Amino acid sequence: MDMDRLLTKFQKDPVWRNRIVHWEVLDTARGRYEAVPDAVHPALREALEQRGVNRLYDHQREAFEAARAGEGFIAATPTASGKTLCYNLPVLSAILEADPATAALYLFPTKALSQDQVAELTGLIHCLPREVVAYTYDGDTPPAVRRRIRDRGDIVVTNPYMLHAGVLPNHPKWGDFFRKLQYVVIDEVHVYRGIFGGNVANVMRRLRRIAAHYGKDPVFLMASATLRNPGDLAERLIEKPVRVIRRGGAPRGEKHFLVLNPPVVNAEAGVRASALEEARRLARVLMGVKSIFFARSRSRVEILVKYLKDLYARSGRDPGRVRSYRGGYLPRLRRDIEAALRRGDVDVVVSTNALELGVDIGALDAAVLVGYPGSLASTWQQAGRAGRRRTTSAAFLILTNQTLDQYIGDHPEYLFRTPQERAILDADNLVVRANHLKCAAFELPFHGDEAYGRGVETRRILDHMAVESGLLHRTGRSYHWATDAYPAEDVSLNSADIDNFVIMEETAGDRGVDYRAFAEVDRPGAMTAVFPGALYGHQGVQYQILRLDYAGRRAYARRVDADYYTDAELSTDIRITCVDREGDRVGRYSARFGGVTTRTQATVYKKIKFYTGENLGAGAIDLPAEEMDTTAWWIVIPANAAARAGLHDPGGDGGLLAVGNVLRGVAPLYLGCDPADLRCVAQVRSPLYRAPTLFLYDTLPGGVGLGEALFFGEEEVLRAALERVEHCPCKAGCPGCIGPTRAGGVLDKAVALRLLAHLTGGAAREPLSRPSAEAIRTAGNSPRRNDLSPKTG
Amino acid sequence: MNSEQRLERIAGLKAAPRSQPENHGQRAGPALPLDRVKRSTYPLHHGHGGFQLGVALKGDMTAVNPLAHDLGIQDVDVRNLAFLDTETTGLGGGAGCLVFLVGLGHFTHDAFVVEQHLLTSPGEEEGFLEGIRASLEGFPGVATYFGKAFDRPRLEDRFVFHHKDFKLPADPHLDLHTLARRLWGEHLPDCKLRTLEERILGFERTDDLPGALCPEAYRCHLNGDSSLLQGVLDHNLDDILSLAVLIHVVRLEALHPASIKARILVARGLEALGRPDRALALLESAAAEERSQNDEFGGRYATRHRALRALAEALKRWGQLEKAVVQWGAMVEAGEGGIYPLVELAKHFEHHEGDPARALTLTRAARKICSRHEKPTLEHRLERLIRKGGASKASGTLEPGPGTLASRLPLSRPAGSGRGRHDLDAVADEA
Repeated sequence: MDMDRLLTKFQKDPVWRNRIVHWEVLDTARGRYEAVPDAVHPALREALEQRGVNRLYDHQREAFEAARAGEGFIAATPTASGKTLCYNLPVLSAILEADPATAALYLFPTKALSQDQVAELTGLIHCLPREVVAYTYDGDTPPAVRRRIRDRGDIVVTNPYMLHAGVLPNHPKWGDFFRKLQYVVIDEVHVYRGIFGGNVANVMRRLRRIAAHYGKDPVFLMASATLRNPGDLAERLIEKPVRVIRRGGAPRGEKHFLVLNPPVVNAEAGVRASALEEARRLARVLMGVKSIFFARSRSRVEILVKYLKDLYARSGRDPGRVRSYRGGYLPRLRRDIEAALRRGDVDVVVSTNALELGVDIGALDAAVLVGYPGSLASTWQQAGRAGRRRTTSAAFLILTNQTLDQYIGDHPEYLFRTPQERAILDADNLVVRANHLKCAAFELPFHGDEAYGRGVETRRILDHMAVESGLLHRTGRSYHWATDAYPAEDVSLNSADIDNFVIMEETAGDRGVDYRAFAEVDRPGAMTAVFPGALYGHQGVQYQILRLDYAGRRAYARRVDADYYTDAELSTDIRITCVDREGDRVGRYSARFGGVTTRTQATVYKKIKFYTGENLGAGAIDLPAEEMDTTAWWIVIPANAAARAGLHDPGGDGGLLAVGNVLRGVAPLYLGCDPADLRCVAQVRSPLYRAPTLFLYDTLPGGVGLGEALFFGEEEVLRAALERVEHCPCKAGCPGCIGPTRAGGVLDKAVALRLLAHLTGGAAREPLSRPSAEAIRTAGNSPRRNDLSPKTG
Repeated sequence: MNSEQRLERIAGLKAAPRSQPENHGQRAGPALPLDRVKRSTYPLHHGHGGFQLGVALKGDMTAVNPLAHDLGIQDVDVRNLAFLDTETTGLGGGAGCLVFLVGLGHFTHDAFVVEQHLLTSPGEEEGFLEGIRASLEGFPGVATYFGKAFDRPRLEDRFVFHHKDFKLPADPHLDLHTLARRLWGEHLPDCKLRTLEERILGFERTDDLPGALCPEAYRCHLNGDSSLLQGVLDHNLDDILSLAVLIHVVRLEALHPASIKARILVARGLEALGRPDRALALLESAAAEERSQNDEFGGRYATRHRALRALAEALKRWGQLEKAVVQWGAMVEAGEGGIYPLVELAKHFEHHEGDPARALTLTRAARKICSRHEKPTLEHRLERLIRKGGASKASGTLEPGPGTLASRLPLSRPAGSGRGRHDLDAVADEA
């Protein structure tokens, strides 16, 4: 059924009309085309023609010409606007010209995307008269192939982790490659934000330093999802000016964005119908339409895919046309699903945010977001998955019962009138910078006045490493690496590169038991996904976990036919390992920073029946806790002050967590990190201080000193937090201020406001009616001390 | 907390604690004169372990050819080799890992000369590398121990680092580790040079600085204490001398290899060099020898199978089919070699004797004992044989007809043999 007719149904049918809280029609765009420039190598032009490309969008031509003139760019054009060609065209053209000899390094954030890219390149390369060697280089590359790639690769496709720990520290092995390195391509730039972004920016510093050693100053060709500040982020990432290409010349058919709020089913409690149930209802209407459903977690994906497969089966359709796609599937299965999607063998794909990234799955007609994804950037990336060049497409956001979602139900304009979150990264965080300076010194000695990054003088850190830690040997003004350590091994770019659990299916074979690996799960996820007794959904099929080999990182499962799924609860506690410094803030509260150990443990699980949501029982989980050492900042509020703020009133105890959430939202502007780099633990009565205590800690193992920076800038951060809550027009919390709290009540916001007023030494004001976006800007512009300058542009 | 402490704490700059030699940190240690290049000359009769250095010059190196044939090495001239060994600042590799000592030994007409190039300071690496290049001038080949994987890439990477074009001489690159592993790998706990020295060369080091401490010794040198560096130089010198002697012992062993594996390997080389008679003799000795040994260790079974099979394969390759058939028959009788002899016999009966029925019987016997991986090929063969009409006759009997080769196949169970039971049962079942 075509989308236009379907949308009429939404307009007319009262069942749907009553659910729609907002209907936005997004601009269509007519394609702006230009001829393929003459400067494109004739063989490449011919190859393009063979593949049906006779003209370019204007942004592709702009990108080609910029790259050719040696100007770096970032293409932040909408999904499916042909971004890949923006960089492939100049790169392949230069390789074919071979004067000078040209090589390019491509960086993607995941191995899957790298493989995607190589598959796409290979298609084009096959049409070329001369062999162009394009290969992925990552942990999966067999040693025998590695050498060939290093010596003969024209295009090497890898990821930041491999570049950081594998390529740069071994640059002499890559000498031939670096001598030819004209272009560095970075796709999915929007991923490189916060501390991860800061780390990757430092990897870029090191890359440029090594390239310079081999006489090269490569041009950076970048692409990203649409962002509020693409140029700013890109320039922070590579520390060179870049041209911003925003206006995509690709045509776009009409696009509709509908916000749906499920009907109230229990008026007294104000409970609405379940979003999953609504998604099923919507799927019935969309049946046969190429669509993607986004769910917020792995387990919700599997529940939804089961529901939709059941629905297809009952309607006499092939349930195989519904597939799920998420992290944890083995690469072959993922490739399989991607190919089926592109071929059109699949109608519906249910995904987590794994498909926010640029995995090529072809064009879709509808995107259904089951629950607000948590940020505007994610919302637009997920909604952007649906979109056709000529015909109409639609995105649906189904709201859940949570406060954040319901805020959007009340203020749907928040989605369309608020600028996206600003993407920030700070390459000069002292810990991050010093870590990479170590790696850089390993790769090439430092001489004379060579500076690395900004902030504390480079020579001071180098001297420190030479004299105090004995890592470097200093002669005159030169510093050489002097120990047998391999520093990149000890520096992680983010917490994602830790080991996975493999899930094995156990079946009875003719020679005893057969085992087959069919999925994997990351270590933090393992606690809630593969504890013994857990039901693990995989492509809509249920497996029960029989046992878990924790040390061997393996879970064993058997296929079962169960009418329920399991849902595990996690608890995190925090232990202080050392207090580096503490301060009493004129009796209002005390603040500290130092080392902490967090222990996260799965405690109990519930069995929940499909469809009805009925609780069928519970069980205990007996797994070791995951421990992480990191750094934190925490404040202790005197019990009597907290009581005056209403924290101990019935229903008021969510107020402390609410304060933590606001701080998490505000602090990144001051710290140059992403909200995901900070986590918060609120103890209404700390067992140690016997008073309300609020912790904010680094989520990167080992910590990068965010706690210390907060300690020295906390007054401003607290004031900005107060302002944000005061200025927010919401009644009971929204994504712009106190975020999700347990209870999600009016009290949380009121208590949070009074607590913040107490912490900043003033009295709480009544909330003003101003949009929260204003508050964000206000927070970014207030005067502040030098050592804690705002990271906004 | 002062700013230095703060920097240290926040930036985590401290190196991981390491075990340090006791005299680390004595900046005013004895000021040893450290030469950039140290030259040591030994007369040819200088003793190293149980050998004199000069022996390497005397023997006929063509003996090594069969052992190293597949490595592209033949007719090595010891005088053309530089014996090379390097010491580095780290074993993990990478751009921050320096080669700080390179020892180069070579034979002159009356002596063995070792030149040791020392990187006195990291800033002087370019000159150091050029010195090494000059010393290697005139040597078409090198001998190393594990050099293909370690010394060569490490050294060449340093040249790349300084934008210099350099390849280690490679005509030949004789990596003695590869040859030693082939000759003695089966019998030694490991193939470290140290182990070979003790067990094969009869050379024992006294107060040797363990190789793992060399990086630390160099670090101390950079910090002003060079006392440990003499130990590194001595260690490196011993390595080079061992290489010079080892090449001789490798030659001796290649002539008359003791290990079964080595005999099989050398036999392959001999075959490739067109000397099947010597190859077959060597393989026969391997097969026979193993029979006279008692099978105490599990590992022997694998070796034994390999020897028997290698002999049978070589016999087949060189057209001695009758001997090969006897060999396969013996293997079936002894229950050795898995399905291999059964399959070979089946092929033989099918293609040479025109007896698909017997071939089918043998193939069925093989299928009964085969592993999961072998099954598909056997099934395929069975199918083909059945199509060929073997099935109609195979239902009969394996009773050997007079004069056929099968009459020489011992198909009754030998007294007291436990090992071949399964195979024989299988054959009997079919019959």
